Formats: sequence, C-alpha cells, structure tokens
Amino acid sequence: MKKGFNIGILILGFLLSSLFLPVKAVMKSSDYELQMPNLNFSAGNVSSSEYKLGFTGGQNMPGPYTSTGYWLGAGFWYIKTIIPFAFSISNTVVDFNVLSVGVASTAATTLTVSAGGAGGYQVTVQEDHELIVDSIGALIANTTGDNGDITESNAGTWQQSTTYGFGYTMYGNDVPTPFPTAAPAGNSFKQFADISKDKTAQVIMSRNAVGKNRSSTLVYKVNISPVQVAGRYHNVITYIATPTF
Amino acid sequence: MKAKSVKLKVKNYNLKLKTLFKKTKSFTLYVLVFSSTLYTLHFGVNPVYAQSLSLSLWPPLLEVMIQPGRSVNQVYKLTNSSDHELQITPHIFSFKPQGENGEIQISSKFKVQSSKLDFFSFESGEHFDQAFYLPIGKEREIILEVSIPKGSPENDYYYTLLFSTGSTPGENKQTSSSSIAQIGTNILLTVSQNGNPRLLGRILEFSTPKIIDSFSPIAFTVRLENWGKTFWKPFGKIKVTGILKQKDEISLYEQNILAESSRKLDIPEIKPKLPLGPFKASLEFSLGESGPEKLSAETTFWYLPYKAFFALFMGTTAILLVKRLKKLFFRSRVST
Repeated sequence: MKKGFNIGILILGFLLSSLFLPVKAVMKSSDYELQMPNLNFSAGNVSSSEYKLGFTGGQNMPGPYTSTGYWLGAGFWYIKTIIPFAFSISNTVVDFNVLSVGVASTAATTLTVSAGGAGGYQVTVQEDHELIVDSIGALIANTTGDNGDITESNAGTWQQSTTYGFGYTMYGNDVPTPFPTAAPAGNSFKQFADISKDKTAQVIMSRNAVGKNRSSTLVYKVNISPVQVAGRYHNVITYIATPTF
Repeated sequence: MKAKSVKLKVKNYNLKLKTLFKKTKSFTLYVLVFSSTLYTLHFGVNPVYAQSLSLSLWPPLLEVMIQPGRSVNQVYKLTNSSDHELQITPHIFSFKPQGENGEIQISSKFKVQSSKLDFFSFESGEHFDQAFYLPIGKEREIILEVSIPKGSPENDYYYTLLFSTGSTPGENKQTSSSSIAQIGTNILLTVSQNGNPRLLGRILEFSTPKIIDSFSPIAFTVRLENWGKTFWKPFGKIKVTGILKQKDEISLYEQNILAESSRKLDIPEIKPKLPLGPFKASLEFSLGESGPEKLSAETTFWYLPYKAFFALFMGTTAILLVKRLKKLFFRSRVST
C-alpha cells in the first residue's frame, strides 16, 4: 500500500513539474516571422518617388495624406514572408480515353499552392458547362450519385457502375470535408459548379494561415450509360486561386 | 566438272537467298511502316499532356486610401513557372467577403466590364480582357494605375485582379476536360477626402473554454464586426493575468476587417508559465493604428491539471487493484 502511494506521489510530482516548463507562443517558423507593427521590411520598385511604388511594407506614406492624396500599402505588413503567392496545376488537359458503358474512366490533376504574404488562400473550381459534343449538343450530365444527393456543394456516394455522369473527388492538404487528407480518394463525389447555369464556384482548397507547397489531387470521374450518344465530349474546368485579405 | 557445277549451284542458291532476303527485308520494313502509320492514324496513341500551369504573383494584397481625383501606381510581378509559354488575360472582379476567415467570393456577376473600368488601367501596355504572352520562366512587371475620378463617392471598394491562362483544346477523338488556372491579388480601396474616415466596430465574441487543462495552451476565440463603411485592422493585445501573479500578453495579428462584415481573428496560442488557478483575460484594441477609440472585453477561466489528476487517479486505482488481486491470490493458495 505504502509502495503504491509512493509511486502515486512520484507520478504527481513528475506531472506537476512538467506543468511549469516554460512554453512560449510560436511566433516564428521557416515560413513566416512576425514583425512589430512599425517595421518596414520590404523594398520595391519605386518608379517615381511620388507615385510609382513597387510592393511596400508598412505605412509607406511619403507625406501627410492631404498633400499626397493617397496612402498605399501592399502585402500583410505584419508578416515578413519568404514565400510568394504561387499556384500550379499539373496538366492542362485530362483525357478520359474511349469511354465504355458502365466502366468509369478517371483522371487526376494535382494542385499546388504556396501562400506567403497572403496569410491564407483559397482555390475554387467551376466548369464552363457540362461535358458536351459541341456539334450535336449531346451531354454527359453532372452526376447526382448513387443516392441522387450529389450537387456542386454537397458530396455524396458514387460507387455503382449503373450511376452515370461526370464529377470529382479529392484528397490532400486543405481539402473540404468529407474528402480525405491523404490518398486514396474515397467514394464521395461532387459536381463541378456549372457557371452556364449560374452556379457559384466552390471552394476545393482553403487555409487561414501561411503555407508552402500545399498540395491536393482532384480525381475526375466519368461514367456513361448504354444510351449515351457517341462523340467527343469536352468542357473547360477553371481553377481560381486567390489570397485571403 | 561435277565439283564446279556444284559450286555454281551453291552460288546461284546464295544469290537467290540474298535477293529473297533483301526483298523480305524491304517487305517487312514496308509492313512495319504501313502498320505503324495505320495505327497512328486510325487507332491513335493517347496524347500525353504533361504540360503544367504554374504562376506566381506579388504582392497578394494592395491597400489604398486615396482622394477622389488622384491616382497611384502599383507594380505587380507575375512569373510564369510553367513548362511552356502562357497566354495570360487580366480581368478585374469586385468581390465580397465570404465566411469569417478572410476568404472572398467572386463570380462572373462581379466581373467589371472593361467599358466600366473607371478606377483601373495598365501603364505597362496590357489591357483588361486582352491576352498577352508570358514566356517560360519569365517575370513580367505589370503597372496598375488606380485612378479615382473626381466626385467619386467616399466609400470602400474591394476588387480582385485576376490573371487567367488560356485553355488548351483536347485531342480530337477523345472525351476530355481542359484546365484554366487563374491567380488573383486583392485590392482594398478606400476613397476618402480627408484620409480619416470614421471607423466603426464591435466585439462579437471574446471567449475561451471555462476550464483549460494545465498541459494545453489557451484557445481564444475573437470575432470582430465592422459595421462601418471603411475597413480597419485591430491594433492591440490580449492580456492574461492569473491569481498567482502570472502575466502574459498576446499581440493581435492586424487582419483586415472589411466594411459590413465580421471576421474571426487568427490568435496565436499561448500557455502561461504557471498554468494553475483562476485567470482573467482582457482584450483591448484600437480600430486602426492611430484609432482614438478603443474596444475592450474580458473573460475568465480556470487552469487545472485535470488530465494529470485523472491519470494519477487511474494509475493509483490500477496499483491498488493489482495489490488486492495479489493478496486474494496468495490467500487462496494458503487456504488450499
């Protein structure tokens, strides 16, 4: 009994001592560094002392507002960033080969974002229209999934070979739920927002903090029914990367 | 004689073989070339579109306060890091804040038509909605002129300058989707005559869990609302004080709160040196760097090592249980 009590005291002592270890807020990383408000960290392309400024940090006001007529600041001047705002897509065209009835064809695109001075970012996606044969107007409609619940904003299950249409799933960094953060992609799919039908572009990646090489993979899926008209279907998917403000 | 005739026969045979071989070889070549041509023409080799799209842009945010009738220029740096030359088209959209994390919403409805571009033009030769070429690995300096016509109403205007790549057509016989990449930079524009617009805000939420484990940092939630017409940034701190004379401070990130919107601030996590007992946290900030008005709020919470106590309780219970079981085991052995 006494031995057990002693062990208990030891554990308590260890836990209490670990409480008092100094822990500071993380205010610096390899990606960013917090700056004091009045530090002017950057230089720019000053084309003219008065008007043509490059990127500036801090309140780079050359004189009183009433005489200059403007105040200009660019970038998040409280964060000294070493990462530019950059966006890449791994391929310009994805081909689905020759489509066979009831056999889903898939293809993948990798998206990569580095958001430095932006502080955060988002990527949205939209399609110009559904997959279409321009010459005859035949369509492969956007899928509604196995349960008829898939929309551009709602993910649903798409597993059955008798469920037809066009859609996407995702995995990777900063993807919205229910998409997984690592491969493989699951069976949850969404439609691309169709701007020809006034749909709003949907967020497919977002982060409220500085990030470097944040990467996700978008997997397209198309499956056709026996009554699908033969032809070369095509559409354009637009990915828009914007920084937070 | 016989030997000579045999030699001649062999020679003729060799010649025939050589001719046949030559003919066969050329025939095989023909067949090979023909079949590969047919294959290419009729069956098609799936084209490989290894081309990538990669753009970077600086700066990602421009904040301008300007008088009507004035103009100011900003240099943007756009770099093509793709593996091919890009056709780039600049567009400008107005945007509105979406959610509370600084994200934006733009749509085709918000696109500013080039005929109505009162505020923006390029001094470096580009035109809105007209493409230019950007070679591989090249950086282009694009000078945007922000010019506010006289008599423009004093207000905030929020825009996104978007650079869009062109689309690549797919292979003619295949079903395909082409990709377009667009990269944007935000412009927060305040038109003000005196440079001192009225800033209005309120604290929607300042909270933390009421009981925090001593091993965890404090997770503050700060939501601020701008109910005015001009965007501002909070300049201030959260001061944390404990009953055992603990003192800590967190400086707020100066994140923009746009007009008629709210934002949840990103607060750095902190853990007091002595995380034990009752604490008080007070939030105080001004709207803008030199804002005369200050907003403040307070909250209280407790730091307790409840996870440690729970672990200790479980550990002690387990030890006592083991001891008791041992005793029972020995007793049963003695009795047998």
